[in-house]
Amino acid sequence: MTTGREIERQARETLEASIEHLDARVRSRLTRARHAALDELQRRARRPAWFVVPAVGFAASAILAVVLWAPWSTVQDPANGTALTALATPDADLDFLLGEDVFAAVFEDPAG
Amino acid sequence: MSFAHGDGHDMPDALRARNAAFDRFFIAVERKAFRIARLALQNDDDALDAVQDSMLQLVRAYASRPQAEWKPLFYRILANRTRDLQRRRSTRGRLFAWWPTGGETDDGDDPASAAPSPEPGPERSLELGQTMALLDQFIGQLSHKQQQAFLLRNFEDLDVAQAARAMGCSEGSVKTHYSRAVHRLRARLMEAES
Repeated sequence: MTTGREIERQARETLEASIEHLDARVRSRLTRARHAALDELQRRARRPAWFVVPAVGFAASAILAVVLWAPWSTVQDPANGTALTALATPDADLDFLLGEDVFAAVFEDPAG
Repeated sequence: MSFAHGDGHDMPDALRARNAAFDRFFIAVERKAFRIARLALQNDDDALDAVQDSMLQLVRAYASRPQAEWKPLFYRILANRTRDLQRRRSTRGRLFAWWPTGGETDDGDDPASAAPSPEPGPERSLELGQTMALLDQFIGQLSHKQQQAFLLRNFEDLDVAQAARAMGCSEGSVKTHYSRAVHRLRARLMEAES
């Protein structure tokens, strides 16, 4: 009487033998199928992922927006920044900041 | 046979290694996959189409998965593709059932349980032919799940967990389908011997 184990062994041996005897046409088609899959793999590896381009664009826009709109970006001129800071100081040296010509014009007697 | 396909010289090492791994994997599974699909579809060209589609689908959708997952995923795809082809043929068979010339009427409602071609095919040796034809016939008469469980476990050497992933069912179901397949095959063989 044939047991389950014998069925398994017999089926395995028969199937294994059958794949050793595949005809040339089938083997050739399998080789072509494999090459097509490997070509596809290489194509996909070379192609950037679909989300990369919009993601890079979005990131660049975000960085640009931060640079343009951030509060510290308004103090562009170091000279202005220095002047405003100096004026806010109680013991500011006005001669240095405004120059002698300004004082001369202010204190000049309009009547001569 | 090693990976020597395409212009691999300008590829990074990691990519070349992955391609070589896929090449080895496909070489290892392609003949068994064809045999399994051939048993279900009873047609060489349909089986070859199913194997090629499954290879392409694996690299398109699962190339980044760990290598240990490739085999269950590949056989899951192959099973789905095989079932799609069976359904398509079944529908086609019903559509053409009334056609008097009857070229497509042999498909029946369930191609998996349909009788195999009476011709063993020129590729089989005389010694192997008879046993193989008988086994084809008996495995072809199993249900789709029994076929899968028997072939994946006994022919492709997947363990129960891998077979369960490939079949999309629980490990308990795999064991049940496998056991029923073996019992049914034994009964058919005993009938043939007596």
